[in-house]
Amino acid sequence: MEKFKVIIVEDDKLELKGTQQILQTEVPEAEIIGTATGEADFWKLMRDGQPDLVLLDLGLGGSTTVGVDICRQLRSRYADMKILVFTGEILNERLWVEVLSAGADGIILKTGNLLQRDDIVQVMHGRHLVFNEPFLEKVMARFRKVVCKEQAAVDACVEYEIDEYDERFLRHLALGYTKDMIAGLRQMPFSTKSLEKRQVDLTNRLFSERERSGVNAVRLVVRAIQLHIIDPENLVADEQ
Amino acid sequence: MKPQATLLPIIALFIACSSIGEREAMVVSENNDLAYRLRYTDISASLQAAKKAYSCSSNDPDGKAEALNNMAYVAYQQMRYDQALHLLQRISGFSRNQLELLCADVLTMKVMQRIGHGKSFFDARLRAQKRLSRILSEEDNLTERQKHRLHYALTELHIVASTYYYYLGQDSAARSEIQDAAQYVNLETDTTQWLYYHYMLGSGGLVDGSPDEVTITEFNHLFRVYTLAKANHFTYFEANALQSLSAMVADSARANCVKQQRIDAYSYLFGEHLRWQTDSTLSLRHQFAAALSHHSIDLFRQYRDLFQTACAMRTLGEVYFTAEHYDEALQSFHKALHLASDFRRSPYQVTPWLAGIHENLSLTYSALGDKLSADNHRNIYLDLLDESRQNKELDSRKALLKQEAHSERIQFLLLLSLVVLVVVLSILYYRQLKRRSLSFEKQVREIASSEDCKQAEHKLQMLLQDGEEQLEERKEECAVVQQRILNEQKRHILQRTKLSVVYAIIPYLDRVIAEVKKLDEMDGNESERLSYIEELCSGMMTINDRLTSWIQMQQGKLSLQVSRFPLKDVFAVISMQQYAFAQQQLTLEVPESDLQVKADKALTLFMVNTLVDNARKFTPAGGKVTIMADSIDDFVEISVRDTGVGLSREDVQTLNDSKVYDPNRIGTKNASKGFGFGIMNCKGIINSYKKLSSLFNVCDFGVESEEGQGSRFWFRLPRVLPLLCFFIFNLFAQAMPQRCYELFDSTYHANLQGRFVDAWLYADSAIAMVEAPVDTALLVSLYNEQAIAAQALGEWDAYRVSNAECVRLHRLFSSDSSLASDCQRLEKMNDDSRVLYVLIVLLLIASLALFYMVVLRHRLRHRASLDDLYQRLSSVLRSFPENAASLDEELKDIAHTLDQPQLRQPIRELRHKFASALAKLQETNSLVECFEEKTQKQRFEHDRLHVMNQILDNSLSTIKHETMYFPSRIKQLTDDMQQNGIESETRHTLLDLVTYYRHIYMLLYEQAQRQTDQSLLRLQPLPVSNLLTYAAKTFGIDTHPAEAWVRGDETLLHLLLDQMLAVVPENVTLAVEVRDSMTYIICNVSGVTLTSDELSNLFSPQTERMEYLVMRQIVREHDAACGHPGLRLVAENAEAGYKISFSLLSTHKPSNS
Repeated sequence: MEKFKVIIVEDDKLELKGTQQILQTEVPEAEIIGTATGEADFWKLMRDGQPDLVLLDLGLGGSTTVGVDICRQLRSRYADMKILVFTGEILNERLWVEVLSAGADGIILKTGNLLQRDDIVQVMHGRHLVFNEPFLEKVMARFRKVVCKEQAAVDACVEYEIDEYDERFLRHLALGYTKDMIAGLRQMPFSTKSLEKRQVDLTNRLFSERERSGVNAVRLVVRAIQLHIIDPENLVADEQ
Repeated sequence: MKPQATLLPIIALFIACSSIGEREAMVVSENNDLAYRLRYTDISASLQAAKKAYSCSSNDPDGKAEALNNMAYVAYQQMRYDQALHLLQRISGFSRNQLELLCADVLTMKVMQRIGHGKSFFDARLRAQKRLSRILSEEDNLTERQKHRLHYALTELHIVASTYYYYLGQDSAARSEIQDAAQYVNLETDTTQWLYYHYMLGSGGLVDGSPDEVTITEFNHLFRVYTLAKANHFTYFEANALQSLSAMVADSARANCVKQQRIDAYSYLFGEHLRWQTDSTLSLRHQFAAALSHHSIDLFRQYRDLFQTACAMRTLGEVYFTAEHYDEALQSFHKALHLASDFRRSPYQVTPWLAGIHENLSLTYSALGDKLSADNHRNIYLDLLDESRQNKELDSRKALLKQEAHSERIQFLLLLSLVVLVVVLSILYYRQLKRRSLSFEKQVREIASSEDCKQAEHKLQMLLQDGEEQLEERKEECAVVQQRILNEQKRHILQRTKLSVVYAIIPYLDRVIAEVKKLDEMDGNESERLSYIEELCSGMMTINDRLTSWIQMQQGKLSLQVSRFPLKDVFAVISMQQYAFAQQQLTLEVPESDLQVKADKALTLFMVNTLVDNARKFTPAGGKVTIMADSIDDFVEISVRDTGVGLSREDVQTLNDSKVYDPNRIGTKNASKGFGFGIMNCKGIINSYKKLSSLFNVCDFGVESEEGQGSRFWFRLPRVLPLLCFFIFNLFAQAMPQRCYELFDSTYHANLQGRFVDAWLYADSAIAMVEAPVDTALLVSLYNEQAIAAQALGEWDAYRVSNAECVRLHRLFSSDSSLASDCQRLEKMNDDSRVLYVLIVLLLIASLALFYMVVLRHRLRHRASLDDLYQRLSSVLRSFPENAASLDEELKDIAHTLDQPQLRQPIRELRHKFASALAKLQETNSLVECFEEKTQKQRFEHDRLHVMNQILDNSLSTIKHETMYFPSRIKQLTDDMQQNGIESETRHTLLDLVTYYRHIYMLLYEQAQRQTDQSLLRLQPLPVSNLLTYAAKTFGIDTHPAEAWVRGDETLLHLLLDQMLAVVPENVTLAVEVRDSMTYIICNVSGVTLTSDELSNLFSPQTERMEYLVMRQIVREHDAACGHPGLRLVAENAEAGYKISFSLLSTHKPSNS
C-alpha cells in the first residue's frame, strides 16, 4: 500500500491520542498531516493541504452530529476523497444511515476492536461500505431478523396449510375488502358463502380451540400478520 | 139592618182590644160586608156603607178596592155607568188584589153587558178569566172571606155571561153559563147570589124541558126567590121576581099551567096582590099580572132602581099589551121610556133594553094603528139592534188581532233592537278581544318574566358563572400541570444530559479494553499503552467525579410527589387491562379496596403496572393474576400473585438481595428478557422512598416464588386513615310549589292508606303554603282531602270547617245562572204575548249574558291558557338546569300552544335569551371539557415523565454507586503493571475487570436508556423573535429584531437560553444569523477570552459547568428530531471576546399562523 495523507478530526484528546497511536503502530503508510478538534480547525487544515483520507468523528464539541454535515460537504467538494467515519453512537442506527447517505466510505464504531489496519487498507483500496466488526455484528443481527421473518412466513404457510387463496383472502381482508368484494376478484373463484366458510376454516386453523371464541375478521388478520402469513409492508390488492 | 145589629157588639169588642190599624181594617171589612149585603136591599144604605169603608181604607188597598167595587155596583144599579166604570178603573189603578180586580172585571162585564158594549165585555171577560185561573191556582191560600168573595165573583161572572148570551139569544151558551154558576151558589153563605141565581133561572129562557115543565120550574124558582127575598127584605129580587111572575101570569098558557100545578103558590100570590087596585076592565088574570107588575114597580121605585123600574113598567106595558089594552100598554111603555130618558143622557146607553122598549112601542103603536109611530119606533129599534150587533165577539177578536199586530210590531222592534244589540255587542266583543289580546300579550310578557323565570335566569347566570369559574379553575389546573410538566421536562433533559455523560465513559472503556488486549502483542509500546490506559482512567474518573457532583447536587431536591390517595384509583386504571388479559385467556382479579396510602401516585401506578405486566408475560393461558391490598400494622401491602412459571430459588435470592444483576439471566430458559428491569426499577423506587423520609421506613419490596407454582411480588406503602365526610342535604332548598304538590300527593296517599291524622296534617301544611289565587284547584282538592280525613276521624268541627271552605271555593269556580229561576217565573206567566216579550227580553238578556259569557269564557280561556302557560313555563323553568338540553325545544312547544304569533314573542325572546346563554354555557363547558381533557392528557404526560425521571434517577444513582470504584481500581492495576512489569495474571485480572466494568456499565446504561426511547421534543415552527423576547424578558438582554422561523421545541429552547445565559458573564448580546438551511443564534461575550483548551473542553463531559452539557443535550435532541442535519453548538473566540452559537433548522412561517 502506498503512502497516503490523513487528517484526523476528533474532539476528545484522549481518543485522538489513541487513534494516532493505532495509525502509527499499525498503519505506517499513513501520514497524519493534521488533526482537528473542531469544524473550523478542520476546514483550516483542508485549506492547507488536501488529504487522501479523513478520519472523521461525528460529534465535535457541542455539535454532536456535525460530522454528517462535514462528510456531506467533503463528498460534494472532493468526490475521490476517502472518508471513514468514527462514531461512538453505537446505538443510533438511524445516524449510521444518515452518515452513509452523506457519502462516507465506511463506519467504524468506537467499541470492541476499534480501528483495524484492514479497515484502512480496504478504504484506501477504494472499497465502499467498510465497517468494523461491531458494526457488522449489528448489521448481521438485523439481517438475521429479517431473514428469520421470511422463513417464519414460509413455515407458517406450511404449518397452517395456507394456500394462495387463503393468502389472497387474508390480504384483502387486511385491506378492508368485504367478502362480497373479495368474491368479485378475478382470481377468487368463490362465492361469498364459501368465503365465509373459508374464514371459519382459517380461524380454526390459526387459533387453538381455546382461543377461537369471539375471533372476528380483524383478529384473524392480526393473527395472520403475527404469524407472518401476510406481510403488512406488502399489502397490495390484486387486479379486479 | 138585623145583621148589622148583631155584629155591632163584636165590632165594639174588636175595637176595644185591637190596634187602630186593625180596628180600621175591621171597620172597612165590616162596612164592605154591609154594603154587599145591602146592595139588593137598600141601595143608598149600601152606598153609605161602601163610602164609609172607602174613607177608612187609606191603609188597606184591598178593603179600598172592595169598597170601590161596592160603590161601583151602586153606581151600576143607579145607571150611572160612567161613574161605575170610573170607579172600577180606579181599582185597577192601584190594587194588586187579583180577587178585587176580578170582581171589578166582572162588574165591568156587567156594565158592558148592560150598555151593550160587546167588545169591552169580552175584554173584561178575558181579563177576568185570566185572573180567575191565576186565583184558582192559589185557591188554597185564600181566607174564608176571600173564598166567599171569589164565589161571589164566579157566580156573578157566569150569571153575567149567561145574561149576556141570553140577551144575545144564544140560549145554549146562556144555559151552560148559568149551569156553571150553580156550583158556586150557596143559600147559607151568600143569600143574595143564591137569589140572583134562582132569579136568573126563573126569569126565563135558561131551563130545559117541555113548556109546562119549564114554566113550572121557572115559577118555582121565582116563587122561591120572591118568598125568600120578601122575607129577607131583598127588595130588588122581590121586585124582579114579581116582575117575572107578572110576565108569566100575563101569558095565559103559562098562567094556567102554574094555576094547575102550583095552585097553592098561585093562590098565595093572588091573595097577596088582590088589594092592588088595577084596571077593572082587565080580566082577572091580567089584573093579577098587572098587580104583580105594579107591586114590582113600587118596589123598584122604593129601591130606587130606575132601570129596573123602567123594566117593570115595560113588563106592565107588556101585560096590558097581552090584555090588548094597548093604550094603557102604550102609556106604560112611554112611561118606561120616559124613565129611561134620564139615563139616556148618559154616554152609556142601555141599548138592548131600549131596542126592546122601542120594539114594544112599535108593536103597541101598530096595535093602535099608529103606523107612523110604530115605524118610527121600529126604525129606532132596528138602529139600536144594529148598534149592538150579534157578532160583537168578532169585534173583540178583531181588536185582539189589531192588538196582536201591534204587539208584533213591538216584537219586531224588540227583535230589531236585539239584532242591533247583538251587533253592538259583537263590536264590543271584538274590541274587547283586541284589548284583551294586548293585555294578554302583556300578561304573557309578565309571565315570561315571572319569578320562576328570573330564578331560572339566575340559575343560568349562576351556571354561566360556575362555568366561567370552572373554566378558570381548569385553566389554572391546566397551567399548574403544564408547569409541572415543564419541571419534569427540565428534569428529564438533565437526566438525559447525565446519561450522555455516563455514556461518554463507554468509548474510554472500549479503548481501555482494546489497549489491554494489545498489551499481549508485546510490540514494545507497552509503557505507552499503560500510560494511555492511565490517562483514559483519569478521564473516566473525571467524568465520574462530575457526574457524582451533579447527582449529589440534585439530591436535595424533592423529586418524589408524595400525596395521600385511595388505592382504588390505581386499581381502577389497572383493571382497564382486563381485555388484554382476556385476549390471552388470563384472568385479572382487581380487589375492591378503600385503603388509602401515602406515596407517589404515578410511581405506585407504575409499580403495580410493572408487576402486573410481568405477571402477564410469565403466566400461561388459563392462568390467573390477582392483585391484593392488605392492611397490616401501619402499612398496606400491595401484592401481585400469578399462577405463572415462577422463579428459581437463586433468582428469588438475586432479586431480593442484589442491587445490580443481569436481568437477562433472571427467569427460566424460555422466558423473554427484560424481566428484571422492571423489578429493578421497582426496588429503586422503594429505596428512594426510604431515602426521602423516616415515614417511609415501612416501605419494602419482595418476591416469593416457587418454580412452576407462580410468584408473588409485593411492596409496602405507609397507610393513612381515610377522612370522614359528612354530607348534609338541605331539604328546604327544594322549591316551595313543588313541595306543595308533593304534600298533596302525601295527603292523598295517606287518605288512601287510612292514615287520616297524617293526611290531615299534610293537608294543613300544604294549605298553608299554597297561594290561593294561583292554585285554587289545588286548594279545593286539599280541603276536600282534609274534609275526608276529618270525616273519617269523626272530627265534625274540623270537617265542617274544611268542607265549608271546600264548598265555598268550589262555588267560586262554578257560576250559577239566574236563568233557571227566571224561566220558572216565565213559565208561570200564561200571557202569550208577555211570554214573547219576556222571551225577547230574555233573548236580549241571554245575548248580553252570552256576550258576557263569551267575554268571560274568552277571559277564562285566556286565564286558563295563561295559567297553563304559567304552569308549563314554571315547570320547565323550575327544572331548568336538568332540562337544559331540551329547554329550547320545550320552550318552542310552549310558544306553539299560544295561538297568536305576537303572543309567542315574549316566549321567543325568552328562548333566544336562554338559547344564547346556553350556547355560551355550552361553549364554556366544551372549553372546560377541552381543558379537562388537556389536563388529563398533560397529567398522563407528566406522570410518564415523572416515572421516567424517577427511574433515571434511580438508574443514575445505581450507576454512580456501582461503578465508581472501577476506574481507580483499573488505575491501581495499571500502576502495578507499570511498576512491576506486565504479568499475564495481572493483565488478565485487568482485562476481566475492565470487561466486567463495561458489562455492568452497559447494562445499567441500557436500563436507563430505555427510559429515553421516546423523543422529548414537540417540534413546531417557532419565530426566533420568541427566543429573543424570552431572553430579553428573562435576562434583560439587548436583542435585535429577527424575522426568521425555526423548527424547535419552545420549552427546551427556553431552557437552552436559560442555561446559556446562566453560564456566560453579563453584558452579552444575542444575534441571529441565517446561513444555508440553518439559523444561528449567537451569543456574543465581549471582554472575556477563553483558551483553546477551555474552548474545546467546554462541551465535553469533563467540562466544569453542567449547563454546557445541558445545552449540548438540547441541541442534540433537536438534531435527532430533525433527522440529523448536523446542528451546531459551537464556542469560539471572536474579536473582543468569545461567542457561543447554536443552530436550528430554518423553516417557513406557517401560513395559518
